[in-house]
Amino acid sequence: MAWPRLTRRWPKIYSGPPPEDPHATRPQVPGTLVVALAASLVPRNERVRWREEWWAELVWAWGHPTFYAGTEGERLVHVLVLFVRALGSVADALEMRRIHGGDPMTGRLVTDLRVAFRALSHRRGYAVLLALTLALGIGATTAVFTVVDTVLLRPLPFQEPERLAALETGSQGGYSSPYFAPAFVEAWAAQRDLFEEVASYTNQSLVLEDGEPRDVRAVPVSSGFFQLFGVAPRLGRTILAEDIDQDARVAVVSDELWRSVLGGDTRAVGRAITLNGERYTVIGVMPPSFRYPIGQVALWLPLAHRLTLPGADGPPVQVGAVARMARGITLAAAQARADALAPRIAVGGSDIAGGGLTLRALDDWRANPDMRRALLVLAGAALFVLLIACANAANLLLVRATTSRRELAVRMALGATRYRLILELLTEAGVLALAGGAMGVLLAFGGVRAIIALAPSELTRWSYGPIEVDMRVLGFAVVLSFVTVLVAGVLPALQATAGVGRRRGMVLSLTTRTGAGTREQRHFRRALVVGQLALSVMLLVGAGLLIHSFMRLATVAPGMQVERLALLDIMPDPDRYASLAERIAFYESVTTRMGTLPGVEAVSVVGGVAGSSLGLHLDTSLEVEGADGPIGGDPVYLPYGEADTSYFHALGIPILEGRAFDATDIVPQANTAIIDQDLARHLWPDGRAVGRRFRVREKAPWLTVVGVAGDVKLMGPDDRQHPFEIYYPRPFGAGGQRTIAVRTAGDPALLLSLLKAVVHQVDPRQPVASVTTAAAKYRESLVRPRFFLTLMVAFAGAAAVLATIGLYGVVAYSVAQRTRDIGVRMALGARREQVMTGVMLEALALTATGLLIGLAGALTLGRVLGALLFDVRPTDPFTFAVVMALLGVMAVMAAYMPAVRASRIDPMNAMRAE
Amino acid sequence: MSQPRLTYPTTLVLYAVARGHGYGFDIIDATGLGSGTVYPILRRLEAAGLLRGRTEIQNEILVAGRPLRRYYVVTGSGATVLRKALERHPAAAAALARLPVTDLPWPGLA
Repeated sequence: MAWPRLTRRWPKIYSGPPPEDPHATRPQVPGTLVVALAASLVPRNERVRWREEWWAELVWAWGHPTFYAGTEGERLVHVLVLFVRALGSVADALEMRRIHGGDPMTGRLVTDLRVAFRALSHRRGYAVLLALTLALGIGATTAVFTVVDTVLLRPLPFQEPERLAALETGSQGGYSSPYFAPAFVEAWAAQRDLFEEVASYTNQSLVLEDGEPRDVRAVPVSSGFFQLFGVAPRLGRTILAEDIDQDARVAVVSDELWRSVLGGDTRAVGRAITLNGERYTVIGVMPPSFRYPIGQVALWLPLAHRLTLPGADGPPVQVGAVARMARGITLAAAQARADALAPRIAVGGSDIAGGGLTLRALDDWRANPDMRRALLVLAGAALFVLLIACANAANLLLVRATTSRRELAVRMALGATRYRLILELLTEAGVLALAGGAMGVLLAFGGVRAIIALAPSELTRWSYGPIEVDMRVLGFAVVLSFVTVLVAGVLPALQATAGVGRRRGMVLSLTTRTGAGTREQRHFRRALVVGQLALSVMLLVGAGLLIHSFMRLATVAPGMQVERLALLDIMPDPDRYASLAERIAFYESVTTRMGTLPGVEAVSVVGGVAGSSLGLHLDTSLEVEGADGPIGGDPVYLPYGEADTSYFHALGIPILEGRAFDATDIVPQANTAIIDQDLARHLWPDGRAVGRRFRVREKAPWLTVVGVAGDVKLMGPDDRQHPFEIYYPRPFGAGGQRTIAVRTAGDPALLLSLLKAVVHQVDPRQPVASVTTAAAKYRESLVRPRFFLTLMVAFAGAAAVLATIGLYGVVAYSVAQRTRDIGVRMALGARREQVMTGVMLEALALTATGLLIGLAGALTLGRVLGALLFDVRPTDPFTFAVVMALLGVMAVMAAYMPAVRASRIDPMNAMRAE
Repeated sequence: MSQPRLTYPTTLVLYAVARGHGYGFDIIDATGLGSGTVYPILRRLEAAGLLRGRTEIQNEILVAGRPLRRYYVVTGSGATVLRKALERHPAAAAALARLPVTDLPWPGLA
């Protein structure tokens, strides 16, 4: 049997020689950590052999061929089975200790465990509720922590990641470019006291022709690229200097490509793949965690020969660069040194680069600020849920400890020490923690899957490495459940046994029939509930604001008719369609054929439709003809689209003034543009825009406005950052991606495969990057807010349910404890309604206190959400009102049953019971 | 070491080993008992001399980089006890009867 790799999650990182004895380190198999922990219970002379036996079983089972053959669901089941089996090692370790003469401690532990199980089996409802509460808190926190950890926190899976830096040009006007002229990179790479190694790369979109042709992102890299990161391939080798010198057609493929195209074959090295009609030999496969440049890289190629490939009229080749800084130099020190050196590095760099250099930690690329903020807010929300769960657990444990106060007093009277009793209570709590923790781990596995399924693709695209629950996070969950129990269990245990030992306390405990607990305990429980309510108010307000914001966002009109519109994204192969004439011929052939299809009304070759602009003007300084200088307050990013004569007609964008483009505009010298209404008002607040001229920055050509179009959400529905749009009459541009927009008579989804077939009729080797409908594409831009909203609502819902249960527990308990008092009052003439009102008022008073604290907290924390809201203020009165009403309903729901129960107390029975 | 109580699970485990299910997880699979039940029983049976456990011999080709497995066989006194136990729990024999007898010897076992 071929022995499978055991380290499946982390890449092998070159950090010294492998350990001498492979048995000395714990294998990376589920459950081995449990065994390692349990081993500490086994007598020392038996320990190594015992542990070895368990590890061997787990490793054998893990490596069983059926495991790798199964579906993902089957593999998950397999992991869980292994984990559950490993839990049996605890019982085994205890047995070993008993047989081979451990100390009496174990015997006592076994007894305590037995007592705990027996006690819990008598209170199943309580045990299940407590375990579920803990599971919910731990599961939610672990799942979100897993995502936050992978996306934001985990050390990058490279060797000494703190010494790595991405290079960018010097910052100019807040913008720096990550691309340079190759000579510029070489000049900086020569600064050996600053950089140990500098590697460069470019990006290429190539067509992989094995199977159905598809676009893949290829990254040609220089020879030191992989060595710089210190990451070894999982199979084969990486790109060497010889490959570049010999201009070899070799490729290192990503884990994803290896699995999807090469079938995960371990003998894939040496096989050939076809890219843009050329054969490449696969020389290596990288581990899944290696992603650089960040995003979905399919393969890495030797850099040199790709540099010469782009067409004659393509843009000059620029490369990205990443550096390993010299040992002992920090990022800040390196930046200072680079600033000092910059004037002396005199190379004709890129047009934006003024010779300066910006060093950027690789961490910076992990997530954009909005996503980062959203994730941190979610982590905060999950933590709130955990706190509420802890409070609930503490409350339940406290009730449990208080009710058994009498029993504890009897046992102390009979000679039990306080220490023993506390230990027993803690063992019971520990068993619950373990059960809750185990369920929480299961919940976390499911939760992470759910999060990934819901998440916008950018979340997985922008993280270095796959998002999955690993040993570290599981350890975190285990620690979390035990900390929860310590926090939630120790205090009740101390409180319940406090004073019982003293003679007076003991007598009191024995004579107080109800064991209602002290005034402090009651206050403590109420404080816990108020805290829970306050936290859930904050979460409910947060979720409410997001719901409100999302409703606003979802009703934003895209500005064009997205219904009955099919979109095909196409990137003409730069080798075969190098010249403009070739591209025009291709597009004309495709659009003519499409136009003849039944059900097609109009076809247009466009760049930029709602939800995705073609390009962005960076760092603009808008200027109108006849003015003294640029207009103040210009946008940094200005999106633009590229249109043909039928663009506005096919996409259904209204022309408010002037006209759409015609044939006279589609010539390079025309210098005409169509702008949207917002930009027209920004440029000429006083009146008509048509016929007047403007430019996007100094020295750019003047553009004559021939028409003013309606406002289109080119960058998605939330266009606060990008309110303006420009359209240029350049349908076929300088290569690059284009969209073929097809206006249909009926449902466009029915025509998609037919339209794709038309492209393949014209050119079978030309891939179609994506085929979709405009409505679907526009909806995609709502994925991120919807993801965020869904999780927030889930957390707020969980919090509300937990808080309601907590409130119910306190009120119900308080009614149960006061049965006799209520009975006496009813005997003295209190009416049922009065009793009911009294109980309800108690619940409402707690709720009102929680509400007030929660609202104050929500007002303070609302600012954090501000940037994530669309057209809703963090102090939105509507949301606050709804949350207040909701909490009122919660309070009534929680108090109703206990109140009814209180009102039905029979005074005679209540008093006779004493 | 005193004789372990011949409960139904103990009988099942002893019988499973006798039928050639030689290592922990195999016994778990064969008997359907939990790992927290099977292993303590194995320890008791071994301590009572009814089973003998052997750690497999290091075999570089077969087990490179893997911890060593432990295999169990029934001793003479174990066989005697098993006969008595099966009389007491005939259901145990029935429970395992549908499973095939595993072929011996196991790889790497001395």
